[in-house]
Amino acid sequence: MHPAFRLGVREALGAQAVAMAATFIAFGAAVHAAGFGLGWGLFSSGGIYGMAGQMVLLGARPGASAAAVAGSLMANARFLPMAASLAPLVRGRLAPLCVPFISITPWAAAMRRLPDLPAPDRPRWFIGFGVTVWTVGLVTTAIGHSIAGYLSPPVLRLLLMLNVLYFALLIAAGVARGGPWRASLAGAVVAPFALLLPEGVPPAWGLLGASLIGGTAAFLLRKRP
Amino acid sequence: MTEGWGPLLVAALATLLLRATGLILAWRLPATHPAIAWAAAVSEAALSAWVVLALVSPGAFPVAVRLTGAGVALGTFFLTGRRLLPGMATGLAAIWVADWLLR
Repeated sequence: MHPAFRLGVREALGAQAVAMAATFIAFGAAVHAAGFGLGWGLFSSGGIYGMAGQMVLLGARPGASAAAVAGSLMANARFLPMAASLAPLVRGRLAPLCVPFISITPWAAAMRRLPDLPAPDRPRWFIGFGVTVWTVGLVTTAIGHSIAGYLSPPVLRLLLMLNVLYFALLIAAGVARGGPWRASLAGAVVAPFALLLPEGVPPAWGLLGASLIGGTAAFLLRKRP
Repeated sequence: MTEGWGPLLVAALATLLLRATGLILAWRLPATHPAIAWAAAVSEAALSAWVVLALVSPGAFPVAVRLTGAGVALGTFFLTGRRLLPGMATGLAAIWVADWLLR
């Protein structure tokens, strides 16, 4: 096993694995409550691998397939710019293997970690990290599905909050280190305006709008080299 | 419930294409290219917007409870030398306690 791959695996088994596990246990339980089988839950966690999109599909009304797919894609639309910003860091023959693992958790960790690693090691680190948290997602989806009957609604609600706290701390750490504070601040400032959208507009539109407006403003205000 | 498989398969494939498209579009661009800087800024903004909306949107816990949890998590995080797990644990405990106190 390549040392960079092993390093990625090791670094994935920290706070992010705990946050992922909590979220996917709650998702597994929600899949069970919605009447779907374990196979459906596992394919959703492994194939979509983006919780916002997974939840949109899970909550879709029967017969609204096209709307469910569109809503799921909209909720995970951020994967496109995330993949684009990751591309220069994982460029090479291993890059295609990185594609299925581009999701919030691996992307956020990679953007903070990869610049410190030698270029040839970066894709291997990302794949090691990505495979590990992806596997954590699958295993904990199965756990959540099988113990759904034992989890009370308050516990499920708390589990879902863990991921929010994890990313709040990750952003705070990045800002304190002098990271991309303009973009983080702009996204945070614009986000509450999404709550003003008229009723009936899917929440994913609000998130997408806040990301585009906040991110573009931060980009325009950036300090040019 | 077999009807959920069709949308799931299509959504999974489309999400994979979304990721691949991002990587392909930026494949030949240098790391310093403005398009990469824009994509990174939008992605970082998406992350913080998602966190803020999760904290202030109507949801399972009152907004005050969620903000208390986030505040305690951040305080612990910085007081413990930027350690994530203690921050997450105390934040979660604060949400549980605040929710219990408010009910």
